[in-house]
Amino acid sequence: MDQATFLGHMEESLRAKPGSIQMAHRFHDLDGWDSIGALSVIAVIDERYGVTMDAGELLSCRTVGELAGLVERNLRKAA
Amino acid sequence: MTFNPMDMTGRAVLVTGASSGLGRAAAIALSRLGARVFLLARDEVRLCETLAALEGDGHGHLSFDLNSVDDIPKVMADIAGRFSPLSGIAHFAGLMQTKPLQASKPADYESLYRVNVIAGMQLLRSCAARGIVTDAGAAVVLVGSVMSLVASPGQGAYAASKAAVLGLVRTSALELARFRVRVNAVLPAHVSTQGADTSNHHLTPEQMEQFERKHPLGFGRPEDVANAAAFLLSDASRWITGSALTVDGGYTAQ
Ligand SMILES: NC(=O)c1ccc[n+]([C@@H]2O[C@H](COP(=O)([O-])OP(=O)(O)OC[C@H]3O[C@@H](n4cnc5c(N)ncnc54)[C@H](OP(=O)(O)O)[C@@H]3O)[C@@H](O)[C@H]2O)c1
Repeated sequence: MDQATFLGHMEESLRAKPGSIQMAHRFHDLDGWDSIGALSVIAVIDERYGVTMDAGELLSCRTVGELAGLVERNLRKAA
Repeated sequence: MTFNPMDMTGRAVLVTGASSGLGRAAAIALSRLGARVFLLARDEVRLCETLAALEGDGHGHLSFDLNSVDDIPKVMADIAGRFSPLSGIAHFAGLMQTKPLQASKPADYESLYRVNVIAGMQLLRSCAARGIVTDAGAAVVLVGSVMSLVASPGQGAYAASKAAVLGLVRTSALELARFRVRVNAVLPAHVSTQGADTSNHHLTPEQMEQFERKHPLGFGRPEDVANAAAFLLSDASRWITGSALTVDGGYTAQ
């Protein structure tokens, strides 16, 4: 999984400036992070990576990097 | 014998979406009221599970994908010919989805609209064709949702399709009255089913609790919706057409 592309998807779904989201960022500190933002992130991960996650899984990730790790583990499981 | 205005003895009723959730519960309720039920959905194994749960004899089933909307008239003719002309049709097959506008694609809207609305339209059209419903007439129930009336974030495609169901119900009620065909909708709020649970997978347990509190009577059970549909399919509702019955534990009363 390409990290820059992953961050691009996060920025797109949270309407953030390109290049503004980093792996170390905490979701709670991001602008636009609310329940609809969370829905958008779930939808983009489903669409781009074919990984379906529920709210619990998403909220268990404190940082963007933790989410990227979770998506990667799911992709490896599926492979 | 006790008087039962919802008695369905001798009536043949088609139930789409009968392999799961609300459609399965409706099929079972109708069989208990004496109807012969014809079950339709894609999953053959789960259709057979519903079949095994029905009371009485003479039921039928067919595995069919309602996305093939152009084939629906032929399927209806086959069902009427080989099973029986119908006294009732309940369109419980449907898709649910939660996706915010930002993440929605035209294809999301098209796929929900196809099964929720266009398949329903094709079922209704068949009522205007000769021999599909009985000469005594029939009753049709389409399944809308409280999202036909009120909104919730992430429900764009779903709410649009369910609002379209209402327009379709009212129009066809007017057009089909001359064939003694009544057309109504049930508008459920949340009932736990496979489809609803998947569509709500983004909600945390706390958010689910909050959601339940918006239902003054709490979440419903599949039988609650099934019984309302059975009422609209029975003669107990013989003067009701073009209406939408909210079955929502009070969700839209506030
Ligand atoms: N549960 C709720 O809270 C709720 C609330 C309001 C409205 N509703 C509405 O109630 C209806 C039934 O929902 P449910 O909760 O019972 O969901 P469900 O458990 O997902 O059942 C949906 C049914 O539709 C069938 N179906 C879906 N696509 C189909 C297709 N292309 N061809 C044939 N059959 C198809 C499925 O069968 P196969 O997969 O076997 O094809 C299944 O039997 C839907 O219209 C839904 O929008 C539900």
